[in-house]
Amino acid sequence: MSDERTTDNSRFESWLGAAGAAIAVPDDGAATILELAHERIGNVDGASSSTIGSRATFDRAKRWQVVAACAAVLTLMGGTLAALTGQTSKSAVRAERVPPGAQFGYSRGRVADAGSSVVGATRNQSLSIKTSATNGFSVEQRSAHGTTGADSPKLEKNGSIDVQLVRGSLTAQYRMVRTIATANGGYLADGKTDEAGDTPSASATIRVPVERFDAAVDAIAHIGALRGNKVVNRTSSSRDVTASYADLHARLQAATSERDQVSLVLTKAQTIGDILAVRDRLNSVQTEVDQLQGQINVLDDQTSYAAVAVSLHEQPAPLPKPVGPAKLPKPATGLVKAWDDARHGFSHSVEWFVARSGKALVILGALLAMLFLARYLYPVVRRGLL
Amino acid sequence: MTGETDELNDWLERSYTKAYRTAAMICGNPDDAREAVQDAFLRAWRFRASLPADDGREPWMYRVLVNACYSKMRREVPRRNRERDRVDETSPMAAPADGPEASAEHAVLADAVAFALKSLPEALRVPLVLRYWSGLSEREIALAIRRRPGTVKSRLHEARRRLASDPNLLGYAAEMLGATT
Repeated sequence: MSDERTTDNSRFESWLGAAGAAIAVPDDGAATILELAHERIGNVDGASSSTIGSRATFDRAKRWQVVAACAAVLTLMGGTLAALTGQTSKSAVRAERVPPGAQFGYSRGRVADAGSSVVGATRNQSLSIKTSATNGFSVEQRSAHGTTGADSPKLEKNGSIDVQLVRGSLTAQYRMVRTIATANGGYLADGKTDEAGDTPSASATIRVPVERFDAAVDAIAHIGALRGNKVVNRTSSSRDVTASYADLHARLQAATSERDQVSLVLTKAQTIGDILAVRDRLNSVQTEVDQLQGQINVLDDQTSYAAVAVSLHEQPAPLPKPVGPAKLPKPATGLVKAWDDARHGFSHSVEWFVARSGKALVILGALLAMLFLARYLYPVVRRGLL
Repeated sequence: MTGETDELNDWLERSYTKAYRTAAMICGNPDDAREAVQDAFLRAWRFRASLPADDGREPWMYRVLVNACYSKMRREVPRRNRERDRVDETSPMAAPADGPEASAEHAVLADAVAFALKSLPEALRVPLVLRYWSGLSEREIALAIRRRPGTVKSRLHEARRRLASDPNLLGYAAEMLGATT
């Protein structure tokens, strides 16, 4: 094996040696190179006029090009990073402005909180609802009395949806409805659950911004497509209250003007009778102004937030199978009847025999068993003893 | 400093022939071989202060030379393709048979080996030339071509197999065997 390898090596060495020896070598090759090398020795840093020198210059130029390209790329990356960082910090500042108490990244509208004092709200009060959601949508609604005049259409939207749920999912789906309301910039206005009985149910009224009405209803209807749930009923209605809104505004303006005039008259009243009469009139006008203002505020709230009545109820428990009258066996016929008769006859005969023989039959059976054992078991035992 | 330069000068003059023929066998082209040797020698001059000692100088030189050959072969492929016919006519593998050390039999063998080397892929040709012409060990070849010694060994095995099975060389071997017997 070693000899073969040595033979192989010598053979290939001779082959390549022959091929190498046949190659003509330039006579002045080494001298030319060494001459160029000596030129470079004398001018190491400078550019030589020879091709080698120009190549060295090219290498240095190329090196600077590479350095410049790297610097440009780094600058570009740094700029992009700085831009992204700035954008992120702006988003963070914006997120800090979201009021506390927001759940799932949404801020809850404050119209609901203002609902109890909406009657006493002053005119031209501005209510701002701003939501910022992680899923990208941003709802900003501004309802300003006076600024949102009767020129813009006022729509009042309402809807209802009835979902039948699979058993055991009421609590989770009720929580989901509340989450949908919050996620759409609204809130749960009213809710009631009844988990007792055979059909647990829950009802809720959520208020969402009008422009999110369809999205919220669709989201709730999506619950009906989950795990065997079913949307039993779904309604939505829209009502244009622009005329009522304009009428209320006009009446409020007139009442306010009248109140101002009556107030002016009150300052000029001289007699007690006049003063009392003017004050009565002022009170009635002020009451009218307050009522009109309250109606406008309520209308504003209803046109800003749509109401969705959600009804959730689980499927009723399966009823037990009705217990009907006992199923009577069909009277046997043919061979079945003959077999049944024979079986009954045999059992009756045995019963009759046992009843008549009494204890004697039992004793007889015992004696037969003992004889059987003595006949077949005794020889075996005896062989074992021997 | 002058002594070191003179010593390097002498060593390069002595190494030129072998280095040029190595480059010519790797590149298969005299122009590429001349430029590759020139680049390698100038690189040796540029880094003469950090050249390895005597034992490690030759492997270092061949590593630089192989890299220069690779560079030439990859840069000069279009030009070489255009000038293939002319290069084949003036190929160093087709050296005149009336050289001082080339007999007629050697010329036939050299021609057959030259064609067989040309038919080998670059990955097999380089270790074969370095091993059997330049006399480098497998470890030194591995350093020169930046591959593992196992890879070099397998490539050498494959190169030997292909070269031995080359029909021109088989015929030459048969002739030689017949002549000796």
